Amino acid sequence: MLRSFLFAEGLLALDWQGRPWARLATSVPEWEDEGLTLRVHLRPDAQFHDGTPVSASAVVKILKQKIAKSQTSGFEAVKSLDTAKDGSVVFRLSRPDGFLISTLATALIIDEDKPNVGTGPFRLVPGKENLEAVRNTSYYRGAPEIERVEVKPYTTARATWVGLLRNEVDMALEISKDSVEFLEGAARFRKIKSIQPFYIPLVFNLRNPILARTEVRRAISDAINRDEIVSQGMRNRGQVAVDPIWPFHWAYNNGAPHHTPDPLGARERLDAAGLPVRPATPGRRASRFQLKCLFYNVDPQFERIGLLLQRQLAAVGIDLILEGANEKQLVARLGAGDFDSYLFQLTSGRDVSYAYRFWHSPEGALGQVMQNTGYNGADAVLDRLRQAHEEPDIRVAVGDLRQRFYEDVPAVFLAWPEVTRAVDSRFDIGNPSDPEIFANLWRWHLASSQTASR
Amino acid sequence: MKRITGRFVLLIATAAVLPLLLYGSVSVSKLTDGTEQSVTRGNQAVAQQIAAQIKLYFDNSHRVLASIAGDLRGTQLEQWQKEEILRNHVLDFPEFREISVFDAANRVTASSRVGISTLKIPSAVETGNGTAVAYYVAPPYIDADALPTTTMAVPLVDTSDERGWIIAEISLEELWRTVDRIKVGTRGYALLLDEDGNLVAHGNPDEKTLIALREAAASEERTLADDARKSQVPLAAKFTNPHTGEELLAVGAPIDNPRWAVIVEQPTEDAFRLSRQLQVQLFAAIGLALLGTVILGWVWGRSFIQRIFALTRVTRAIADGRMDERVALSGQDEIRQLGDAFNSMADRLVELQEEIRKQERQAMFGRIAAGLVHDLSHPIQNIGNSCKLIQKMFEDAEYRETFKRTVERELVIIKRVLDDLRNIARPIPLERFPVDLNKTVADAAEAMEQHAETAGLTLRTELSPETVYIEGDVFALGRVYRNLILNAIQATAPGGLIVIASEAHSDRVQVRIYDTGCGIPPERLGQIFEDFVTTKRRGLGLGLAISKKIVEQLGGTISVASEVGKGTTFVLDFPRTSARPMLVAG
Repeated sequence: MLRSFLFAEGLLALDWQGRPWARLATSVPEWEDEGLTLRVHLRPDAQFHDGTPVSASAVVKILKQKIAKSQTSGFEAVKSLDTAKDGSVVFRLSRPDGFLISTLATALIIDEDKPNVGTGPFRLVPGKENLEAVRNTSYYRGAPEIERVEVKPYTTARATWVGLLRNEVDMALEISKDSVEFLEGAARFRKIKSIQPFYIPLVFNLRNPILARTEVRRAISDAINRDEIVSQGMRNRGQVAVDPIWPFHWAYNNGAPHHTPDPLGARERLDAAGLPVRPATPGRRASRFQLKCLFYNVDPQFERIGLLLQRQLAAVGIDLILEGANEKQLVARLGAGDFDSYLFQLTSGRDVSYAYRFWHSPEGALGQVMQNTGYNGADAVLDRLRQAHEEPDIRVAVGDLRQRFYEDVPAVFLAWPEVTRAVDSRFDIGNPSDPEIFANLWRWHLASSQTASR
Repeated sequence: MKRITGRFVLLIATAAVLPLLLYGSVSVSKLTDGTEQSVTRGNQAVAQQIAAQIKLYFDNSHRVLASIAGDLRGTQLEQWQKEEILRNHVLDFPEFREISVFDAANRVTASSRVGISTLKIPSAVETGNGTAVAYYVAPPYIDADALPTTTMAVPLVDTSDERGWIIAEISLEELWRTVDRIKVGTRGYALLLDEDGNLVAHGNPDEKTLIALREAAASEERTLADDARKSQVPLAAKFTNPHTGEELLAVGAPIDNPRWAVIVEQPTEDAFRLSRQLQVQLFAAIGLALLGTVILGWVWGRSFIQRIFALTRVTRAIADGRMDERVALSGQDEIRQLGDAFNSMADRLVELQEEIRKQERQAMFGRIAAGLVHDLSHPIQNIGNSCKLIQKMFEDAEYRETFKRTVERELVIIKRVLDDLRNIARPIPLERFPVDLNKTVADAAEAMEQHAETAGLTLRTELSPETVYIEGDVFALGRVYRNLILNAIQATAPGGLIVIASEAHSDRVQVRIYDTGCGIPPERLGQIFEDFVTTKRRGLGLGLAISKKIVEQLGGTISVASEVGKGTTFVLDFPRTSARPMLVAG
């Protein structure tokens, strides 16, 4: 995310509601030929950091590099990619693919042969241990006032907060939820709170024969009190999630159905599913079945949420066995399918393409998808969503997808965490319309009469 | 101070305000001290309450852990059951981040953590130093996120008398919340120091960074904490915040377990705000009282003095001649009586003035009448006698001639007297031609020489060597000189001297007539040129008045200087003319 804000850009970008806006392009392109052609005109004043112009040929070359990569998703429907005489870049598709627009927002225009050369407001300083960038005085939207940006990684959000207190950094990407209130009244910091496009689900592995049953998953969803997760597990710093669709997306409709806590109903469902509570055995509680849950143990928030889930599910007779794992272990286990469920944070993105990538089954998917849970209950709707390129069609498809996630639960979508970013009040970040303040980092400047150097 | 108003104001201010100021100063001083002491005592009580609150925080945590110990003691709970108990407590009691159970061999037997417990038995507990108390709070240490944290250890004795420990990691954030909730006044806060004087919690949001930076508490804070721990009572001190430069009122109170200290700090500007407000109000009240007293004194003074001013004003008016002015004073006091007496005096003055005028008029008329009788009786008698004789000697041609001359001569004298009377009231008809001043003077001196010689006096002329011309009437000028010389002769005793001199200047010429006569008293000099004023027993007293009129009509001035017993000098000052007399042929 920081790379896209600082160093490199796509042809387009997405606003807070998931609508595209032009970045290296002059305008958001319109679909032609009933969604099979897309023509993108490029800004004439944009340059790479090495001074070369962002020409159509350069863009085509870079995009073809991405297309050639087997790991790339988003361009699968692109049949051809050419430059036109008017200097535009023309995409011709084999079939309609509405996600191409969001792909153009996420695909950063960086030549593989020159990986440190971007187009953004800051230039990468190569050879540094941490991400470091200096301002690009030739940036087409105006040279930033900030001369240098250095990104310092911390292991936890709590450690980030401490780094801010210790004056080691000027801004923090995320303050631990436990610590947000301690910034109240501190004149030195400005806090910006917002829901970010990440959600916390309890994802099921449908290869588990018990979890393969829809009624079981629905019962688990009914047993979980999401409000308690948010209040006790996240100190009320978040909002309940209904599904993985970005709640601020322009096509999001608040009228979709959602699960409400119903432990009694959950027990009844489980009883009806033929899963009675079995007596306790040595070393094991009385339960209907055991469910292993991997959780990301580097962030203590997930352990706490896991314990809450454990208690809530124990109340309906499900024994949730928690197992901590770091990111590497988690990815390895998920990739190997070695899990019953996992508790982690997934990105929704500001558009709906991520829903496709996470929740479409690998079979028949257009491009690389990320989930390996065996879920295919939303494939048809996801395919329809992908092909839609007119607004009314997209709205209908989003509504149908949300209905699908309600009926055929692939995961218990728990919460959208509230992220608190903190910036030293020496910086004037203006009044950003985008709650993602770092999107306008290149516009920040020191408040009058302040100096800052590190 | 010359003005009564000022004296009045000063009197009232001194009598009324000085005591007020004294009283006020003492009151303010006492109030300030009393309020500051009261605030300090109040903050001490607050610090004590906070210390009790922190102690209660740990006591409650101990109670929770003790209840866990009770739940676990002597029970045959399964591992998962023990873990469930611990995890439920971590979920339900946010002051704990982790709770783990250690056996006598210091091995973790159960933990709320999923995975390996991060806790250790505090070394003091391990060596047995911490077993004497119900619970032990370890000295804060820095955790993986570089923040101070601490653990609490509660002994666990099961039925087999095996010892163990329940160790809980205290949530620093929860402790901070407890401390942050403590507000004193509008800007006061509390901070926690451990036994070594290190900051554990700080209620000032701008100074939490000190904890992150592991900066030591200010030396004054450490000293206060140490002293409070030693004396076991809350102590107070004032010092300057080294980070903000603000003066603080700090109160330290000890906590006995853990052996920490609570410091309550409040900027003195906030702590003593009420006292300072009262101070300001008191000063304002005193100021208002002073102002009010001064205004009142000024108003009273003015109303008192106004009447005197009125009296003064009318007195001056009367002195200026406005005899009809009277003073109208209000009130019934002595000033009013003075005003009434003044008015009576003014009325009487007017009456007297009127009487004097009447008398002067009568005297003047008497003099005029006497002068007229004197000047006219002789010629009228001569004419009468001549008329009687002509009846008898009408046939005598010579006598008829004598009669004609006598009548004509006496009529001239009568005419002159009447002319003088007439001229004093209107401009004298004069002819103005360039005349040689020295000649007019010489002619007049020659005409009066015989008269002076007869009186036994020396009449001398001292004329300017320069010929000087003025626009003048020879006859009128002659009359003026003869009048002045005649007056000098009449005023000078035989053997005296009379000098008539002329002196030329650039554009003017002076004629000086001085004598060594008896002089004129100073009180009469001012009136000497007035009509009908004379020192002689007879005559109208118009001579000098007419002389003055003639001189002034010729564009000149006349003045007199005299010294009784020495003599008198009259000075005539005329403007010179560049014109020359026309020569008459023949």
